Amino acid sequence: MAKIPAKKFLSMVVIITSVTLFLYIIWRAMFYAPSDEVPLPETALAQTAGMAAGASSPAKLTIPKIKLDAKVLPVGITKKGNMATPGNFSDVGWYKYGKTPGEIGSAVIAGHVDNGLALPAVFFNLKNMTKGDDIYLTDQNNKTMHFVVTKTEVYDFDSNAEEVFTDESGRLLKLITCTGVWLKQYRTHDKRLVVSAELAES
Amino acid sequence: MKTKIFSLTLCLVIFATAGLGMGIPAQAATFPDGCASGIGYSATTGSPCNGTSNAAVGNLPGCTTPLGYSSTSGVPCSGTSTALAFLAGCTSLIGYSSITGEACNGTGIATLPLGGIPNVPGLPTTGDGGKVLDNAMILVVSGLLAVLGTMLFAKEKSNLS
Repeated sequence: MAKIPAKKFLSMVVIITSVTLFLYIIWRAMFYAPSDEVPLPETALAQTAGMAAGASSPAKLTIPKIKLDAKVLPVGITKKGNMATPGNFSDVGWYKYGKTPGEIGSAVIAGHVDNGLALPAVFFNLKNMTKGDDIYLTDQNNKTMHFVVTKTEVYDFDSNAEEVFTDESGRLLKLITCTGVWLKQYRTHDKRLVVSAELAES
Repeated sequence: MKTKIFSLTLCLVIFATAGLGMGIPAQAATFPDGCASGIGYSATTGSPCNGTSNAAVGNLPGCTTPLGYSSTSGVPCSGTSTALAFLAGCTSLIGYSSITGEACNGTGIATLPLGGIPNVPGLPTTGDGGKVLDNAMILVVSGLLAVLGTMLFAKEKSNLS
């Protein structure tokens, strides 16, 4: 068997490693969003609001105005006690320890605004939503609920936005994404956009 | 000699960049299905988690959890040759393993996030766009390394022929 000279071998290692690294970083920046979710036992669900009888968790979010059709994944909390997010940039996350869409109270769904290469993610166009826009949410039983946007608000990233999760003034849906400028120190955007909608029919 | 130094520098840079980009995990040990460490039996198959016919039961001498090293013998407390920073299925000491449901702190009682599960969580982190400079830097460095590696390869090839 022919022996490969050391320098030639070394250069091959450099090429293979750097190309692998290049592709890995592109994949990671575009498709991997660290969710930082803390695994908790299923009994944790019963400790909090839980799911009302007959309610089914959401499966698909559709917003015609911004051409959004996304899968909804259940998410919990991070070790810092914040709502977690999906591990990718194309799905949205429903806060499973809160309200189920269609119940009295606020069901909360979050999605990313951009990925690690600053390219648009699932909620990039959420900023274009205005009062009166339609949102459709389909649950695991294939039942579709129609929500209508009532208002949009902007919060500081570290604000105590209790009302986002606790507002019980109707059958509400809250969509959250990042906005504002990037804070290098905290590695996050400085604001959160919250789009509130109310159930119109189901 | 110059080429040798150049090659070695290239290697050092590439591995440093790779480490930076990938965030090398604290543990590399893998365990059978249904095991969070090498101690005890699989939660799914019932087989010993250490891969032998005799399961290690309970903590090893000098260990209070399967994490870290024994204070008496210095061997890994995990029951295998690799010490664990976190149990498999855990990303921190908080909560429960997503594989076995064991407490991630290695004891019988799990540590929950401060104050337990909050009724009102904080707002989520929903964007990664600010990391674009870091990612672009790694992409440029790895791209340059690929080009330099190719040049070195071509040079060596022409020297040999």
